[in-house]
Amino acid sequence: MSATTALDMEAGDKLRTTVTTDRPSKLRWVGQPLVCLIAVVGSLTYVRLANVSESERRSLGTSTLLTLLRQHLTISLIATVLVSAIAIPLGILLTRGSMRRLSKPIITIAGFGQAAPAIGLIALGAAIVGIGTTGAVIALTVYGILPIVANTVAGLDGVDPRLVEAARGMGMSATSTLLRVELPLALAVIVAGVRTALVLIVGTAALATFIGAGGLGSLITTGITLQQNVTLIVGAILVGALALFIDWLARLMELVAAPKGI
Amino acid sequence: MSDTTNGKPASSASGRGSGHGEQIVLDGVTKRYPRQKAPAVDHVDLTIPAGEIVMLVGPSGCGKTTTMKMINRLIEPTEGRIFIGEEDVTRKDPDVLRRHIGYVIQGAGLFPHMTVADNIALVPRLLKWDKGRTRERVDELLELTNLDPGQFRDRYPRELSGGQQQRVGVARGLAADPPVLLMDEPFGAVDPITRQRLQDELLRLQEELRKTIVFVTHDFDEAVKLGDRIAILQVGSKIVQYDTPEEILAHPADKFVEGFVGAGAVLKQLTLGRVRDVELHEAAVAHVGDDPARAVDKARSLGREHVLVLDDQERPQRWLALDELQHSNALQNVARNQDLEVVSLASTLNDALESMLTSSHGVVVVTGPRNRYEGVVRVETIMAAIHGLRGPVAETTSDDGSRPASAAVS
Repeated sequence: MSATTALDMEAGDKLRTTVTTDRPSKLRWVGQPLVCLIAVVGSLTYVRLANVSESERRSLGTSTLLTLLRQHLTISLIATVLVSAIAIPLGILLTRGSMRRLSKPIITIAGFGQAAPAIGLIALGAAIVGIGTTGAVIALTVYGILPIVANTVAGLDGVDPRLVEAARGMGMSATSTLLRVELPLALAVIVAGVRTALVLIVGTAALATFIGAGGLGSLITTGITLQQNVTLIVGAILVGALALFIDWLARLMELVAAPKGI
Repeated sequence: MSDTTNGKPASSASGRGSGHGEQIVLDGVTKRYPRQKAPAVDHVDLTIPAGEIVMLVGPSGCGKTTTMKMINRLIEPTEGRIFIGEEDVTRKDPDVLRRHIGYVIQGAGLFPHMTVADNIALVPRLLKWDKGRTRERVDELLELTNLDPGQFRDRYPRELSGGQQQRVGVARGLAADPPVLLMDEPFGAVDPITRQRLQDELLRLQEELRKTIVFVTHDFDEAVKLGDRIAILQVGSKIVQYDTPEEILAHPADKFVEGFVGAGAVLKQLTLGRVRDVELHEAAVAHVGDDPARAVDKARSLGREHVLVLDDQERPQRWLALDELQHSNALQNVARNQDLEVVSLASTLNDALESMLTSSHGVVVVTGPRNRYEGVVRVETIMAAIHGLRGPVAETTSDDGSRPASAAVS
């Protein structure tokens, strides 16, 4: 019994360390959004019904929450779009011809972005472009580069070279081979990279509040500085639920976007 | 009704009888790779006659695939010129060139995210054919390669068996009706029975299409079976012998070729004989729904122990022993035996012999067009054929083999 549990955990660890494109189970499809919903509704209902101080109630007011959510999503989505626009072409470039030998060093450098503490990156963003949304967006963009570049390179490298040769052998140009054969076949892996980056960014955006960019992280800082425990906990739950929900949504997109026949 | 396409080649959409092959000439073609002393391909001169299948055979690493890929310039030659027809292709835009050369590779190389129809339509679309013409061409090619268009058009490659994928691969290579077809070990990844069928089908196609086909293989038996000519290559793509299969088997140029031909040159000559060239025998046949008693009488009168059951379209279903025909409804609903060994008229005598050996029957069923029953080949017929072959070959093989063939001639 205990042996099997240990094995399961080992398998689970492996899954978490590699970026996978496995088909999530039913539990995940139904359970994940359900958990988010229950957590959000439950904590907000608690705030409305329980004996919560007036100041805490104000910190957790609907309009405040919506504003923070909007800020949080705006920062995250802009960063994700930016990082995709930078990292996917970069990944493609790193699999072309003579650029290929640069792919290892560049992925290593991109790894620095991820290895650096997120809070440090965000502070650095603020130091470079000043307090506010822009600094946060830049820091988060840097933070998301690695998974997308690495997955784009891995996805394109994973395409059977004989298929690429077949495409060229039939008279497709290099560009058309990339667009019509390589990218569609690598799409699942690339999108998985974007999802990983998106979830990382949504989670890390909670730190944006430290440089005045708002977001749901503000609830946590407010909770700490004003010693509002309810605000702190509800803030943490909301940040977690949002990341989980975005992950679920992104997986759904992945499924819809997957080319047929593979 | 006359064909009035203005200026365009008359029936290139239909492809049949129009796009015959063109001659290919390799003139001093060389490929050197940087930092490698010996060239991978060293001054190859080769003329491939229009409408013939030329097999490039040789040990792995001899440069046969490199040589072939220089024809469509997937590999750029370092030196030398290559002509297809009158045109020097080394001066042409490679993408444009390749759209006019069919390319079939091992394992078919179908794009998994495209349907069968999209895979086949790839080159016609690159050539900007209109939709209707492309669609017609796809269906025509599926039929040509024995795949039902209605059933296969919209499937994805992974839903197909290896043999079916390879058929689609051939259809894709032929899609734009190119005069030249390059085939790189196309049947290397399928099981022996499927390979034999695909080979037979290629020969049948070639009778109709008369393309110039350059076919790379490491399987000498395949080369003997399919090739109008065989080029045997040594390292550096040096052509040791370039001749018809008959000549190579009877007069191998040197020890290397002898080694390649291997033992049993007599048996290999069976690969040159076709089932259609020998006398077929009649089996006792019955049709699904016939009266079993009459079938038994007929078999007895012919002195046979088994009856071959055909369906209403004359396609063989299975063998039944006489005692299996005791019941009056023995011939109702006879299911097709999936393992029934069948060869076609284009099959080699070698294939027929092999089928007999696997099925441990003394006969094998022969089918013609549309899998209709044509007769049976008996093992005695094959023995007689071997006997007939032994004569001419005996001269060379009775030489102790240590002397080169040229010495024997002089």
